[in-house]
Order: sequence, then C-alpha cells, then structure tokens
Amino acid sequence: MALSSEQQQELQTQLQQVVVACNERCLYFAAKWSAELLNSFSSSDDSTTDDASDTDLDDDDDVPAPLQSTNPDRKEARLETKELPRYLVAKAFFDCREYDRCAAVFLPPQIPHTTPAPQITSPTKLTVSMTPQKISSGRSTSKPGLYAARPQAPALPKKLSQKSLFLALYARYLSGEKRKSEDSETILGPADGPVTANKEVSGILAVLEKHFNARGGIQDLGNSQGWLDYLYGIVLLKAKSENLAKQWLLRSVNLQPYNWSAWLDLASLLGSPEELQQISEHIPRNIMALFFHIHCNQELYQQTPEVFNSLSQLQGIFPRSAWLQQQKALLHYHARDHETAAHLFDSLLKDHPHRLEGLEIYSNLLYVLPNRPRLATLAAMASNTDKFRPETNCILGNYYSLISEHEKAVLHFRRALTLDRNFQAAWTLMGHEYIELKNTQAAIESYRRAVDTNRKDYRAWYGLGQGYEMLECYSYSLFYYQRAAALCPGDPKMWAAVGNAYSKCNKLANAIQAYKRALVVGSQIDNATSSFASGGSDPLAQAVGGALDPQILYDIACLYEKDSNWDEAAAYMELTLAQEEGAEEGDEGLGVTQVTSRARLWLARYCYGCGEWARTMELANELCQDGVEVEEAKGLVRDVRARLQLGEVEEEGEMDE
Amino acid sequence: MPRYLTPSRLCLLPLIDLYLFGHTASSARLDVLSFIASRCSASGGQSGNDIDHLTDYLSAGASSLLGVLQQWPSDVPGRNVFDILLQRLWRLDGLDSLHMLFDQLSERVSSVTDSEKPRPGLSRASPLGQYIRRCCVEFTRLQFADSQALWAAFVTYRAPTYETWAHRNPADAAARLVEGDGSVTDGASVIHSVAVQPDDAMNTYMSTDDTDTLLTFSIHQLQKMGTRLPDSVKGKLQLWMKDQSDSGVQSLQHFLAFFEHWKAGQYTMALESLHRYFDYSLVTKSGSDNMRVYYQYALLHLSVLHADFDCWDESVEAMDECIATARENQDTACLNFALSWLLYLRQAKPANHASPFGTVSGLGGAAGGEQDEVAFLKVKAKETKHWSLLSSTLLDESKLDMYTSGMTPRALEHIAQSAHLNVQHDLRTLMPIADLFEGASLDRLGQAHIATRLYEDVEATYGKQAPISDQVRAACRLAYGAAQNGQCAASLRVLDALASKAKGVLKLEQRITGYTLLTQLSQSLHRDDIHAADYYFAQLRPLRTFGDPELDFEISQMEIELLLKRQELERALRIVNAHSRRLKGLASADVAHRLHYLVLKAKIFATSGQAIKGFSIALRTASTAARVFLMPTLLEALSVLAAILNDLSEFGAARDVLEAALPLIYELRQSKLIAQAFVTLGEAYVGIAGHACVQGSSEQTRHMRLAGAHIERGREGQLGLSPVLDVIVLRERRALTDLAVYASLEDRAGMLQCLLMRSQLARWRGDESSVAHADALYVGLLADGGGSFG
Repeated sequence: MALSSEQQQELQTQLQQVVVACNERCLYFAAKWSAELLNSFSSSDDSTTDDASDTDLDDDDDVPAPLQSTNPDRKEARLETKELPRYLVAKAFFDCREYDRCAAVFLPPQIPHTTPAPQITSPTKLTVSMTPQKISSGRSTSKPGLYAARPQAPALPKKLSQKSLFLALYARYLSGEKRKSEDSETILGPADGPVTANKEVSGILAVLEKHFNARGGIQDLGNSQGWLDYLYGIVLLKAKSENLAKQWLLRSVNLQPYNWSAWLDLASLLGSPEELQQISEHIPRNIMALFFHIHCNQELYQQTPEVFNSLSQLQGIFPRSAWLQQQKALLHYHARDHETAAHLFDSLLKDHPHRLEGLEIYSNLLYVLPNRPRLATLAAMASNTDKFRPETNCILGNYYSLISEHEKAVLHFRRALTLDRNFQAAWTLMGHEYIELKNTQAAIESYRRAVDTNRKDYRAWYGLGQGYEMLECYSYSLFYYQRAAALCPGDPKMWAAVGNAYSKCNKLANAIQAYKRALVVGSQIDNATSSFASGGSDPLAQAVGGALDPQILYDIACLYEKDSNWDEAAAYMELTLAQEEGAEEGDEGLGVTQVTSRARLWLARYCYGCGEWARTMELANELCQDGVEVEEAKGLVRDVRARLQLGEVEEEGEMDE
Repeated sequence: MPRYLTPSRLCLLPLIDLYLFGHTASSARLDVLSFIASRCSASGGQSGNDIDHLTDYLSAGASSLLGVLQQWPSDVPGRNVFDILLQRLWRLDGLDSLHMLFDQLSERVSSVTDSEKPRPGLSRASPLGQYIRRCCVEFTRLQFADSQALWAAFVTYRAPTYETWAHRNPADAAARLVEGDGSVTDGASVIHSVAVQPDDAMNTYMSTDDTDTLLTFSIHQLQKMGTRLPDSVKGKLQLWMKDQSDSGVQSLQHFLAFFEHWKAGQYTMALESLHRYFDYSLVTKSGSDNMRVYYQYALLHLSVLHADFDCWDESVEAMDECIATARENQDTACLNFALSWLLYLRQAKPANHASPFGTVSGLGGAAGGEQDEVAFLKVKAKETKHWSLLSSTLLDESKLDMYTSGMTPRALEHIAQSAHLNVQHDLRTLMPIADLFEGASLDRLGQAHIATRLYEDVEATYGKQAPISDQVRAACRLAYGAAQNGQCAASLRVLDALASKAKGVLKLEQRITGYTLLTQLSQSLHRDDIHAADYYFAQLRPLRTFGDPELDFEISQMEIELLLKRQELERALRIVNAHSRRLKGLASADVAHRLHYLVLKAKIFATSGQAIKGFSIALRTASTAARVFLMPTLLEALSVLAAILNDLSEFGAARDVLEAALPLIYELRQSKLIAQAFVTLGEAYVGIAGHACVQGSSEQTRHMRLAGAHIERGREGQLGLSPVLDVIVLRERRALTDLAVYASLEDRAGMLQCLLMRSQLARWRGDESSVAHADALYVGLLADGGGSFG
C-alpha cells in the first residue's frame, strides 16, 4: 500500500497539525507518537519536502498568528483569539505541573481542599457576589463515579472555547490523578488500590455532560472537535461506565482520528477479537484504523497472517517507525518465535538507542530465552538512559529475577510502580516475584491489580490461578486458569493448568478434555513451525519423538487411570513412551526422561497386572538400564522371573505328568 | 561512590581463586599468598609508613599493581601468575559475568557444604574467606547503577593491561574484537560506548573505605607529627571526596581542613573548620545525648588552637569550659590532658593573667603551688595509667626544676624517668621531646658536645616518626650551636635545608627564619658589619611577638650585643635593666635568663670603664650560677669577672680565675667566649709581667711570652676554628703568614685587637721582624676589611 506523493503530503500535513493540536492541549504522549510517525516516512522523501514545501508552508501560515491558525472553525477561532492571554498562562501553568492553577484560569474557582468550614456555610454570598454557585463540585462528594449522587454541574463561563475547556478540565483530571497517587501511599499499602480514586472525576463528568447536552448530545457531531469527547471518554472510563466510554471514544476517533491516545483507550476497552469485529464498523476508514487494528490484534494475541500483512503494508509507508517495528517484534514474541522477535528488538535498539518503550517486553523475552549477558547489557543501557522510568526498573527487575535475587527484583518492580501505578507489566512481574518468594497473598494482590489495569493479560490471570493453587483454593484457581486459557488459547501451558485444576476439583472428564486441548494446541505449534514432508496416513504417526508433551500425555493417562479407564490409560502411557524415539529413523526424540520412565514403570506394572510377562520383563529391564526406579524394576524382574520359572516348572510338571 | 568494592579489590578475587586452586607454581605459592594478604588487609598492612606511599598504594593502576605478579611462575610452563590472572580478568566480558563471578565466589564460601564437589581449603572464617565474604556482601548491596559503575571502572582499570593480554592470547583478543563489532547488546562494546568516560572514572572510582583510610591516616599524621599534607595527597583526597555521600567522611574532611588551616597559620579559617567539623559530627552521631560526649574534645582543640595563636584569654576560657565539661562527663583522660595543658598555658604565658588561670590544683581539688599541681597531675596520671600524660608531666617538672630552682641534676633525673616511661610504653611521639629536654639540660651543665649528640639523635634515630616541630627545634638548636662554634656557613646550610622540611607549617617556618636571621646577625656582628647587623635585627624584631620564649631570649641577647658593638652603652643598660625587672616579676621565669642579663649588665659596666660597679654584679652572678650548676652563665660571668679584675689590676686573680675556667670554657664550644678568655688571660699575663715581676727578669719574659701565646690563641679562637686543632693550625698559620688565610676571619675587631697587642708585645721584646710582620698583618687586614666590608 504505497501512497501517492499527494496523499503522503496530505498525511504529513495532517500529522503536523495534530502534533501541534495535541501539544496545545497538553496531550504530550499522543503528540510524541504522532511526531514520531511524522518522522518515520522513508527518508528520501523527507529531504525533498523539507527543503521545498515545508519551509514555505511554515512561512506562510505560522508567521501571522501561530496559535490561531490551527482551528478551522471560525467561531472557535474567534473565541480562542479572544482568550489567548489566558490560554497562554494556563498552558504555562500546566507545563509547570500546577494543574489546579491551570484549571482555575478558565473554570470558576473551586473550594480548596483545606478550606475551613465557615466559608462553606455561606454559599449565598458566593452565589450573589460571584458567578454561578459551584460549591459542591466534584470534590465535595466523597463517593466517586456515582451517578445517583451526581453533583450539580457548575455553570460554565459562557463562551469558552473548546480548547480552553479541554485544557482546564484535563488539568483538573490530572490534578485528581496526582492526588490519587499521592494518597495511595506505598505500593500494596492499605490506601493503594481502588480505595483511593480520582476525586475530580465526577466533577468533570458533570461539566462535560452539561457541555454536551447543550450541544445536542452524542448524536450531534456538528460542533465538536473530538478532544472533549476523548476527555469525556476517559473520565467515563475512570467512572467504570465502559459502554458509554466506548461510544464517546468512538465518537472522538471519528472526529479527530489522529489522536492516538483516544485509540489506545478505545483498544483498552476491547476484551476479545469479537468486540473488535463489532466495533470496526464504526471506526473511520483511514490509516489510523490500520494502526489501531494492529495494536488491538497484538494486544489480543492474534497473530493471523492478515495482521502481519497490514503491518508490512504500514511499514512500507513508514519504514522508519520504531512503533511498527516494536509491534512486529511483539507479534513474533506472542507467536513464540523468540529468535525473530529478539532479532527485531535488537535492531530496534540499535536504531533507537534511547528509546525505552516496550523494552520491558524485550527483557521478558530475554528472560524466557534465557540470555543473561544480553539482559544485563540491556539493563545497563536502560539504566544509562534513564534510571527512573518504569520500563528501566522492569528490565532491572527481570534481570535480578533471572539471577535469582528476587528481593532486589521486587524492589525494582515496586519502584517501577511508584513511578507509574498503571504500569501493568510491573504488576504482573511483581506477582511472579512474590510467587517465587512464597508470599502468595502479595502475589495475588499484585496479579489482581495487573488484571484490573489490563484485563487481557493472560499471564496475570494465570498467576492468579497459580496463587490460588498454592493456597489450595482449586475452584478459584480453575476459574482464573480458564480466563487465562480463554485469553491465550494457543498456549498449551494454560490448558494444562486448566486440566490440572479440573482434576484437583475431581472433574475428570473436563480435565481430560482440557489436557487434550493442550495436546492439540501444543502439536499445532509444532506443525506450524516444522514443515512436515510426509503427511502420513496414520494420525498418530507424527505424535512421536517429542511432538507431544510427555508430561501432558502422562497426566491424561493418570486421569484415565483414576477413572479406571485402563485401556485409554495404557494407550496414553504408550504414547508417552513413544516420545522417546524419533518419528522416523534418524530423528531424535526426547530420549529417556523422568516422565517417560515413570510411564514405563506404570506400563510395566500394568503389563504385570495383565500377565504379559515378556513385555513386563522388557520394560523392567529397560528401566534398569536407564537407571531410573531401579529397585522397583528389579523387584518386578525378580517376580516375573520367578513366575516364569514357576510356569516352566509347572509346564515341565505337566509335561512330566 | 562505592563503600568498599573497587576494581583493585575486584582483581584480587580471581587471584585468590588462582591461588586456591593451585594454579601458581609451588615455589611461588607463598609469595602469592603474602601478596594477597598484603592487599587484603584494610590498610594494606603498611600504614604508619608514609602518606605518599599510602596514596600511591590506594590509587595504583592495574599494570603497576599486579605487575608484581610477573615475577612468579604459574603452573603452566612459560606463563607467570600475571598472565593467567589477566586471562581470568579478560574473560569477564560484561556486567553479567561480574554477577557470575560473585555467584561462584559466594558458593565457595557458602555455609552449606556441598559434599559432592571437592572444596578448596577455604574456611569462612579465614582471612581470605572473610575477604571474599565481605566482597560478596558488598556486591549484593550494590544498586544496579552502582554495579554498572563498578563494571565500567573495572573496564578502565584493566584497560592498560590489554597489550600484555592480547600479546599472550591473540586468539581471544581477536574473538573479542569480532564480538565487539557484532550485535549491539552483546559483549562489552555497548558498555564501552555508553558507560562513564574512562578518564575520570579511573581517578574518582575510590571506595569510601579507602578514602576513609587515607583520611584517618592523614589526620593521625597531622595530629601526631604536626606536618601538613603534601599537595598531591590533598588534591587526591579532594577529588575522592567530591562525590562522597557518607557524612562521617564529610565531617572528617573538615577536621582535616582544621589542621591544615591551623598549621598554615590561618586562624579564622581554622576556627571555622573546627566549628564546621563539630556541626557535621553532630549530624552523624545520632541521638542528642552523644553530642555532649564529644563536646570537651572540641573545646580542647579550640583551646589549643587559641593558644597557638596567642589568644591566651580565649584559650583559657575554652580550656576552663573543657575541664568543666570533662568533669561533668567524667572523662578522666580528657580532664587530665586538659589540666596538663592548662599547666602549660600558665607557664607559657604567666603573670599578668593571674585571675583567669586560677590554679590547676584548685580545679583538681587540691591547694598549693605549681609543684603541687605537677604532683597532682602525676598522681592522676599514674592512677589512670595515662602514661603519656605522666611522661609529659615529668618533662614539665624537669623544666620547672631547671627554671626555678636550677636543680639541673634533678631535672635530668625526671627526664630519665620520662624516657624510661616512653620506652616502656612505646610512646614514640614523646621520645624526641625527651631528647630535646635532656639536651637542653646538658647544655646548662656546659656539656655542649653531648647535647649536640642528643640533638642529632632526634633526626638520626626517630627520623620521620618524630613530630615535625621537635625535628625542627632540634635542628635549629644544632645549627645555632654550630654558629656559636664559629661554623656559620654550615649552620646556614642546615637551616636552609630545614626550611623545605617544615612544609608550610607557619610556626616552624618562623622559627627557622628566626634562627637563620640570628645566625646571620651574629655573623655580621663578628665581621663588624653594623649595617648588615642593623638590617638583620630589623627583620628579627617582628619575630619577638610570636611568643617563642627561646627565640625571644636569643633575640634580646643579640640586641644587647649589637648595642655594645655600636657603643650605645646607656641604651643597652636600659634594656638589660628592663628585662631583668620583667623577669623578676615572673614566678616561672628561667633563672638562667635572669643571670644572663646580670652578666650582660656587668659586661656593660666593664666596657664602660666602671669596673667597680660591674665587679659585684659579676661576682654575685658567678656565685649564683655556680650554685645552680648553670655552666654557660657561670663561665661567662667568670670571664667578665676576669676582665674586670684586669681592669682593677688584680692580674693574678684574673689569671687564676681564667686558668681554672678555661677547660670548662672549652667544653662550652662557644668560640667567642674562648677567644675572649684567652685574650683576657694574655692581658693578665702582660699585667703580671708589668706589675709583679722584676723588670727584665726571666720571669717577666716568660710571662710576656705566655701572654703572646694566649693572645695568639685568642686570635685563632676568633678565627672560628675548633680549639682542639688550635695549636697545629697555629703553627701552620705562623709558617704561612699568608693574608689569604685571614680573609676567612670572623671577628675582625677582635683580630685587629689581637694583632695590635702582638705587635706591641714584639716591640717590647725588641723583635723588630715580628713587629713588622704583625703590623703588616694589621694593615693588611684593615685594608682588606675596608675593601670587603665597606
């Protein structure tokens, strides 16, 4: 999907505009993303446009009034011009992180938190002397996000431009976030978690609701630019009304498609590919939708060829985009193609040595591989770039976890969370560390927080299951394993865990089902990665030589055994044994392992029970050779030999007779 | 800044490993072990030596440090220990390998014994085991960024050894190069590019431990020796402490600055530093209670500082408070020390400050005079087994004995006791000062040669161990003694060399300057060069305000000499009287000084022709000096007395006195006195020949010849030659009668006088050729002197 030069030109112009617009509204993250994208067109184009058109464009447009020309709506533009000085001071306050002061520039002053009581008791004076009463704004209600007790919306000063309103409300929102993280105190402390919420949310909701009601509600797309809609969306999201939030975010991306933050929040609301399907009818058809799809599919662990296709298309347009590269690496990682993913990350690191985003996933990858030296080097690089970024601390935590210093790992994860409480990867990883440290309660809480932040993280769900399993609450653990398996159906480990949990709950049939699913999924992977030359007629012909997980096979067999289904059990035991050898001559199997030996012992006993002496002897001798369970095997051999001798004697006796 | 781990310590770990696994040749094992041991211990096992040495030791680079290992073979033929150690070191190729190294090491000393693996003979409690454990613990403590910094520092540390390693292991080096070019996240290449700049990492990567060692050692040195830090060490310390976060070290730094400023004579800065030190120390010492415990020491330092800068009142106030605090805190050591200081203060600056000083014993709880105070201190010191205090109190007592009662033998006994204590309890800092005291007391007994030996002893025996002030004092006395013995040039040479030794300690530099000027002044006085003498004296005058009593006395003595030379007898008399009066008022004034002024007074009277007035003074002085065994003063008084007797025409008495005194005068080694004595003796003989003998008798001739000989010897004495060589050189001189020899004359006036006498004697004898010869010499000397001295 190559773009014509005009299209590209237009795209660039739009991106430039959106970067400016985002910056004006202090949406720094979205601005960064867009600006990065703007700079990742193929470089040859860059130089030409830089030289010729861009500079001219700048000269023409920006010189007269750089801040006014951004808004196409004339009425809004007029308003913005009028309040330019106030806007500038508000922006300056915002940049200095004085959110309350910034909000106060445009919004009527609020009662400060620490205002003594007497002032509150005389609202009449306020209403008389000043603009509309607003005493009971969001702050005074202690229960956040309650529509029943919704505070009365304070009247807004009329004729406020949407940009200024956005800035003011956004500042208020951020101030609430700041207070929230201040009030939360220590990580996993008593005040941490849902107990402490953003107290500004309800106030902002009220204002925005009023604003939009005055302009015709959600249907009327006429005089909105999408920014306030986005803010409404995220505030609704905070207030846990997700459907509404989804609608408003959709509206926002339709109105302002280049606001990447809106897309991200929208993506966070999607829990399954089906929902993505549903929503895709409503989203605008432009290049941003493609980005959105890639992001969502990556988040939802969908590694279909279509995704890769569209990814490579986009990479055709934006060859230098680090984000796309990262998505590609992530897709490969989720598809368990670790080598490719590592390679991609490596080159990403080479091109953008100071870019830390997503590197915590690279560190996960290096952890899984495992590759200590590279992880150490990555940690060193990250630490050199910025010691106080959550990503860096996650990498360090992973490194310390890999070298088995779990206390230090926990420390770094906590630090990452102190820096950003919504950094979901750190919650999950900290859960892992607490599991290692046998602190199950803390682990469960960490996982819980991770799940609260991002419900699509199957590792956290799995961890929850693990935690409950350690606490021997099997039905809970089953529940969580199921969630994990639902999120990541391609991972046999999940299914095996589900099966295990079922068996612990004494649901043997379900357990066997789950294990079988795990087998299927596991073998699929192998099929996908290794090309089979011979599509053999025997369905089980491939199921040897380590193609299947012997542990799962053994577990299934044990379950059948419990169910007293001996034949099936024996069959699966045989299958387990079969993993030792290769499918064909020359192929290497797994060789003798603990599990296969146990299967062999089981089979030997089984044969013994069935009276198949020869096979028993054979298996037991093999056991002796392998040196596993020797005593047991020797006993069997002795027994069988004695029986055989007895039999011979009897035969001879019969003969004699 | 790391607490403990440094690259050099890191390098030691693989070396220990090599040693444990026997990768060294069996012949070299012991050497390697002793090398490791010397590096393991905290201060490197060589503290107490030299501060420069310690600094170099702490900041040495890899190749220089580990290069020592090159001399020992390893178990691989053709490779030495250094080679295989380098192999180990260069095998570390990233931060992770560092972690691996420590993992292995901690396994080696883990308490859980793994029976399967053969463990090298390393127990957890052995010094090596402790070292490894400490390193492991410190490494575990490191934050990630710190371990990163450690790694970066290690890389720079070992970088100089690259050539050696690559030369021995070309394959590995090539592999390293390839690896470096490869993937970004592999190997050390990234670390190299991203990490700290190698230049400053090398210099600044010092552990707190090392800095602390150096700092403590420096302070110890400053406190004990009274030296100042060499500039190189100071610079290094400042560099290391720049990023020091440990507040304990911070406060020590101010303490160091305090000593530095003090020795440099910067009073206000020193005061400021001392206060700052105390403030910061309070921060480090947690709890409000502890603060008082150290308060008396702060006051003690403050008082000593004040005293050193002549702020006596402040000093005494601080000391009083110090004593009060020490008593409150029941810190007897501090209390005793403070009391002994107070005693010193009283002696150093007595009289007019009677009230604030009070009495030591009053504070201590007893009543009585100074002797009682000393006794009190002695008892206290003995009780608390505070030997250094006892030793110094004994020295004080000996000083008191010498000063007041003049009981030099008893003083010597105290000094011997003190020296015994010093030897018994290894009080090295007090040994040189005991020597100095002994030398001074022997000087008083007129045993100059033994005293000189003792002064030389300070430098020869104790060398750098002796406090710098004692060294300087001994050297100054030596030099001045030599100058009095006529060896001015040698004396100046010694003083010149000494100046570099004082290393910027202001007080000592002043002392050296003072003695240099004194020597030069006496030299110019001998040469009759009044202008130069005036010039030197003008320079000396400001030094009198520095409160060094020894120097002060010498200067006033020189002043009188100068005035006598200029024939300003009245003024000289006035000054002598003033001094005498002043000394009389002081309880603790040195009796020798008082007597000396009396001698000078007699001398002035003798010179001014009022011999009768001088006679009784001289006689009284001589008898007192004889009573208190004050030989130099006695002899001087006797020689003045003889001169006076000559004036009074009591030639026989004069001769008897001088002939009795001469052997003793020789022992004093004061050329001037000897010369004077000889000349006076000669005069006495002339007098005897003229008055007591029959005209023309052989006896008269004999006396006249004797007189001639004595005068000639007096002249030679004034040449500044050693009296022992006198006769031989005399012969030679006579044979040569060369003008060139007289060019080196010291006391021109004395010479001229002698020559004049000689020519007159010869004329009396009727020996015309001798007359002509002496006259020629006289004229020649006069002309030469006029030519060379203006």
